[in-house]
Formats: sequence, C-alpha cells, structure tokens
Amino acid sequence: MILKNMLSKLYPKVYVGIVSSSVSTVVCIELYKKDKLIQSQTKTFTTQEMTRKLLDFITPFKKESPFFYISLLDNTTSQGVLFECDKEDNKSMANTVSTVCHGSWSSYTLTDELRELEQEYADVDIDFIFSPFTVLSNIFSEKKTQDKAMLFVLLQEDLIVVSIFHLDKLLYGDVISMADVIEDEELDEIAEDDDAQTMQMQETFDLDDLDDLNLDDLSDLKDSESFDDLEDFAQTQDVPQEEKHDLTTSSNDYKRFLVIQNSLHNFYSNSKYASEFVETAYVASFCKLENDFKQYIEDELFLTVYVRSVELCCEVISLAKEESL
Amino acid sequence: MKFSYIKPRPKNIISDEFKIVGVFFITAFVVLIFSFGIMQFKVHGFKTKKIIQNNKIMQLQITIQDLKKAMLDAKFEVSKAAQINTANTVLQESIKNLFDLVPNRIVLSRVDIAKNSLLIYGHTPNKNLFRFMLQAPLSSIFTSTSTTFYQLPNGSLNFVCKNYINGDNL
Repeated sequence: MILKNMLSKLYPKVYVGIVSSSVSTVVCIELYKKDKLIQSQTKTFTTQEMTRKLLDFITPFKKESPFFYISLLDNTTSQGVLFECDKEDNKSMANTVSTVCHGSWSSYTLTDELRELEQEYADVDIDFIFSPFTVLSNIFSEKKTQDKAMLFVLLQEDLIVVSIFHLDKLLYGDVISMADVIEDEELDEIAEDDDAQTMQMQETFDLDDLDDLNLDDLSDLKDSESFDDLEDFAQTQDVPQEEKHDLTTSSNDYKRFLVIQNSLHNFYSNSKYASEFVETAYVASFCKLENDFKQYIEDELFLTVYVRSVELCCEVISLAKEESL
Repeated sequence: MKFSYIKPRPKNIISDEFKIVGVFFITAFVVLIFSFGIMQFKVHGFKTKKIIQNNKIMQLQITIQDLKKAMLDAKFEVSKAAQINTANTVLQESIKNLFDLVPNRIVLSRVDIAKNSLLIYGHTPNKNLFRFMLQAPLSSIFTSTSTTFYQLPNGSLNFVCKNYINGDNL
C-alpha cells in the first residue's frame, strides 16, 4: 500500500469527463502531474453513443498513466433527490436504487440505468458516475453560505436540473428533460403560436431584405395567404444559419424559462416542500443562451438572477479529482 | 468524500505482463536464496562434520601413537621374555648338566648359581671320589676351582666347592 502511494506520486493522473446529451457528447481530458495541470483537451462528438472516434480520442491518454479515471455525468431522467440521508434505507434499496449522501440530503438514480450506462461505456470502463445535483451543488458550493433560500439551475442542451437550497439544506430538486417540456408545454405553445410566429418572423425577416429576393419569388410571396406559407417560403429560401439558430435558441430559452417557472410554482404550491421564499437564482449554463434570458426571468419571476457559463465536463473532472484523492 | 454512484476500478500500477515476469523473477530469486540457504546449511553441516572427523582423526592418531608405543613395549617385553626364556633354558641345561655331573655317592645340599660363578655345598664319602668324579669335570668348565672339606664324625666329608669363570673371585 505504501509502495503504491509512493508510485502513484511518480505517475501523472489522467481525468476524463464525459457529458452526453441527445445530440452530442462532450469529452474533456485533463492530465495532472503533482496536482499541476499539464495538458487539457476538449472535444465534442456529434453522437450520443460510444463510438470508435470517441474511443480513439480517449485511448492514447490511457497509456499515459495507470491512474486513469473516467467520469460520466448521469443524464437519465429517472434520477432525483431525497431530503434526508438514511444509509440503512439506502442499503436496503441498493438493488433498485443507488444513492449517494451529501450531508443532509442525497441523490438517487435507478441501479438498472446505472448498469446500462456502465454497459454502454464498457469499452472504456467508467470509474465515476456523478449526479447532476452533485455537480450543481459543487458549482455553487460557495453560494450556500448565505442564510436564505436560493434557486440553483443547471442548464444542459436537453436536461434541466433545478434545486433550491437554504444553506446546506436541500428544499427542492427536480430533473426535467427538454423533450418532456415539449410535450408538456405543447398546448401553451400552440396557444401562443400565432404571436410567437409573428414575433419570430419580424425578428428574422427585415422587409429590406426582400429586395434581395427574385421578383418571381416575390410574386409567389404575394400569393401566399398565411404565415404558414410564408414560413414554408422562408425555409425554401436558405435562411442564414445563424438566424435559424437564434430561432431555435430563443425557443429553447423560453422552454427553460417555463421549466424554472413551473419548478418554482411547484415548490411554492406543494405543501410537501418547505415554505420559503426564493429571491436569488444562480444559473449554471452548459448551453448557448440568449442575452435576454436572464432579463426575462428577472422580470417574470421577480428573481435576482446570476448566470454563469460552465464547462460541465470540467466540473465533472473536479468531482472525480476530489473523490480519487 | 463520496460523490459517485459507483466505485472506481482498482488502479494497477504494474501491468499483468510485468506481474508475470516479476513473479517469475521473484520466484527464481526466492528459489535461489532458498537453495543458497540450504547449501549454506549443508556446508555448515559438512564443516561441523569435518571438524568432528578431524578431532576423531587426531584422537585416532593419538591412539595409534599409544598403540605403537604399547607395541614397542610389548615387543620389548617379548624380546625380554625371549631372553629370559633363553637364559632359563641355558640355566636349565646348565643345572641338568651339573646334576648329570654329580655321581650318585655325592650328595648336594646347596647350589648357588651366578652368572660367572657356581658354589656347591654337599657331602662326599671321601676326597678322592669328589676330586675325580666331580672336581675334574668342573675344572674343565670353569677357569678356576677351589674346594674346602670339613671332616664329619662318621668319617665322611662336607665340602664347599667354588668355581669361577674368567677368575673373577680368585
């Protein structure tokens, strides 16, 4: 054991963080020697699964050191939090639910889903699987010293983690998939469809730009009778990529706002949660946000909002570093 | 602190191939050390045995020396015994010869035999018998002979006859 500890100081330590979403997988690798960062690389793969490319990216680093740790962020929606930590209960339920205690609260996920994740990444052998609640709590650990209830939000491309803390005490926690939001909020979207479309079209198309279009097309435009036709037309006319992206982003931002709003509503209205008023929200974002996202929440929810852009896989690595010590 | 749902895999600093080679060399080294130990133990045993055997050899050599000495002593004793035996034989022969010389009518009462002398005490009927029958043969053997007679009441004589070789006590 002593020999192993001595030798471990001679070898560098390699940490790999993997954050997977429905559209991409972000892998970051950090190589430390004597607690000093020697090398750092981040790569995004446009796939959700473990592929040859991803394996080829990781494998060379595996040869650098036997102290090679691969960490994965649990992106399943069947996870959650418990407002207490009863280790005996956790042990008795270990076959179905895996839990990790964080002081007075604990995070859980389904054991079967953990096994599926391990199977999926069997080629690289996963060492750690972290709950996004743990990551979120770690990101804003320094904020938890304030004696008031605070909303912490972790935004990913397709997953939103919402938690409310008062000091170290967890008052609320939820994981919402963006896919679920689409289903849940579909009716609202349809109701606001006309207004939103009008707004978007106004933002996307400037009448001056129509001058750039061909006259034949303009004649087609004249024939169009509804905004649906106009939208079809816009799609056929190669709308600039950035503008398309802005459309998607603002739509997603609105969904994220709705998720936060619903979570707060749930926290205030459900009697099972503590009755406290949230004034401040800290948002850790791992996705692109529009500038007015923060303003919108502040205006609509009367919260003081702080948005921080985070490299989620680096945060995963920092947890792995702490746990591997 | 524990953050992860799963435990990390144990990190092996030494690869399996290196482990096999290492185990081989360690085993070989242990076998060599063990063999060396056994050899040393055997050598030590042999050295102890050698010392014991050397001691035995020394003891045997001492015994041999003692036996040689005893043998010499025995040889000396044997030769001495042989000498005595020869002397006894010679003496026996001399006594036998002496008694053969004595005639029946002369009676000897005492005979002292020494290396170079012969003293005879006895009783004779007369001097002539003694002179002719005994003194004459003795004179031919010894270099000097003298006889003294003592008259007895019955007319016979006691005599003392002294005979010497090389005239020692003349």
